[in-house]
Amino acid sequence: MDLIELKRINKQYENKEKVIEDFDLNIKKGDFTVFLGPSGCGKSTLLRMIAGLEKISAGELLINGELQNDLPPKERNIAMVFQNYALYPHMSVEKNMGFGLKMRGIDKQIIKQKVTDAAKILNLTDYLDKFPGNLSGGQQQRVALGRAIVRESEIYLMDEPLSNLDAKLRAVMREEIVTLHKQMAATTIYVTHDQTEAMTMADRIVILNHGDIQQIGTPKEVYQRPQNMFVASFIGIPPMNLIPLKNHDGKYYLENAELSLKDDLGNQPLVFGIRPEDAFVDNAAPLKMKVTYIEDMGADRYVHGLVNGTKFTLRDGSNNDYQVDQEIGVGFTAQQVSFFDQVSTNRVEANLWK
Amino acid sequence: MEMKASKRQLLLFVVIPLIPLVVFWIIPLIVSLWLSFTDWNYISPTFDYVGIKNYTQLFASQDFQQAFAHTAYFTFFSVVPIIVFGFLLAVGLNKLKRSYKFIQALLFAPWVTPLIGMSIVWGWIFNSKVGPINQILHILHLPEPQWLTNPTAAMWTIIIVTIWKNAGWAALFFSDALAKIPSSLFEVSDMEGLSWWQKIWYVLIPLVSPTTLFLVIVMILECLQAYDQITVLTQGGPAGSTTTLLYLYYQLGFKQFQMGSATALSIVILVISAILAYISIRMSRKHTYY
Repeated sequence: MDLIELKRINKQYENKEKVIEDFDLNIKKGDFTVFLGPSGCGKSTLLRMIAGLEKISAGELLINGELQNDLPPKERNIAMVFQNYALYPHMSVEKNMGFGLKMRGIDKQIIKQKVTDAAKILNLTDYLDKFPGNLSGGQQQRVALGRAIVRESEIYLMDEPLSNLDAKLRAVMREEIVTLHKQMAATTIYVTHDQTEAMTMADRIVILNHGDIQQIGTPKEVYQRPQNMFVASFIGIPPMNLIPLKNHDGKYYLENAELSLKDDLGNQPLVFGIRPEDAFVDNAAPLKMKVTYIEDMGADRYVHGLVNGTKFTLRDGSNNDYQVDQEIGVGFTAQQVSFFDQVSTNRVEANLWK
Repeated sequence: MEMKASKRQLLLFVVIPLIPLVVFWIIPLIVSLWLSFTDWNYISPTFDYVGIKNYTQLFASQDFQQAFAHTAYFTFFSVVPIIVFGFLLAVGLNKLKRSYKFIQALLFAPWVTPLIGMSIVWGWIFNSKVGPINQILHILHLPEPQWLTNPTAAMWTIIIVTIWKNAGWAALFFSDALAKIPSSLFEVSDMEGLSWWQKIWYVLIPLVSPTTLFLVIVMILECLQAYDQITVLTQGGPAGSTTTLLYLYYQLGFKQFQMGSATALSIVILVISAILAYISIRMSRKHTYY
């Protein structure tokens, strides 16, 4: 039995369209699951329904096999971390962390011990007397994490906890949260729109769009084998290049170059996909790109351009100079190619000969 | 950026606004202070300097001591309910999904209506024979107090009118302060299992405390300056039972023509107000944790 089961969950606000429709998902104990999607995809709503902060319009939420739909948040044994930290400004760090336990009538000595332990883990020992207003964003989020871990809940929910922090601090906190998750042997659901967080932290990513699951998989799976064009273009910076193929007499053409497929797909209209790092400059190749922009990231250099009007990006490892408007040939690694159906946008299993 | 103001700017933004302040506040204040050491009777062109006699007489007089006690009583029993009702009204108001603006306007109405006029209406409402309050009490077979002629009841009549005038206004301030509390704080308290009462006690009240402090001070000053409702409803009576310090000042100065004693009393009221203002500033510094 899985720890958390969502069965045909629906969410509909009064007189409005359904935000989430017939959503199914099982989450195993100890997993670090990330809900990833663009804003408005319903990921936060899902999280808040699991927490009990939003009513479930229809469907069942089970935790440990028990129905949770009508339980108030406090009876779900869940701790949550909010995007804006949600610390009480009138309480010291110590009081903030211990407040939930105090309200549950736990003995003062035990609270003190737990808060001290959590503060040690989170490097907050020197700040216990301070007020949230005197802490930096990163420290405030640590306090919010501390407040969650002293509860020793089974389940931790995190709603974009790092999005108010600067890039450098985010990288540090990503590592801390993953370490914490392992130390606590916790089950964590983490909501973000930031794919870097999803890729680096998740055991399993659930990619959402318009309230529907687009793909569930490990970071590697969703990156290497995107199940549809939404995932292909959502995951990866820069995203996967997608070019519609032409089809004459049962043969597929990438612009003017014929592609020889191992599989017989009839005349199914296809889109060709290749990640920027799997494409390279090869002036002998028949596929031509007109350079529009060079993006030097230090470690990597991306060459952006147009292939017959369609945007295309490749990662270039050479030290060659390219000029805007220059025409270059593009080669790619045949094993790394993805295909999608032009109409349904779903992944099509097909392989190239070479 | 040039931070020093030019002479023209100084004139425009500092000196000109200062003129009414000097004419209507600072000069009268100095004159009052000076008059409080004289025996001027408000009418004669001549008067003598009497030193601190007005003050010693004032502090020794029973009228002053009584008025001081009445003022303290009136202030305490007005301010506490104003704050409590104002807060509860605001909690209710912020739960409303509809008619929010309408109710807000209703709450604001007593504050903007001239109290002189409203006090006349209240005088009728509290009339012990034909007033609706006693008629209702009569139907319910409850005791019917002589609202305006019994000394204890008269003070409470003044207090009720004062609460009626100010509670809605206080509610608007509380409503604004409550609306500024981020909703995630309430969600956290939901997750932590706080009851409705615990949320009020541990979250709402501490978080609106700067507003509470501000309102307490403003309301105390409002009570120190209460005049309209007293002059219309009771004229300080019966038997001086609703005579506050300010009303005593009015009686001394404009009924008994002891302008020297009256101005001495006004200086005492000013000192009390100044002390309260000082305390409020000190306390609000302590309370700014965010």
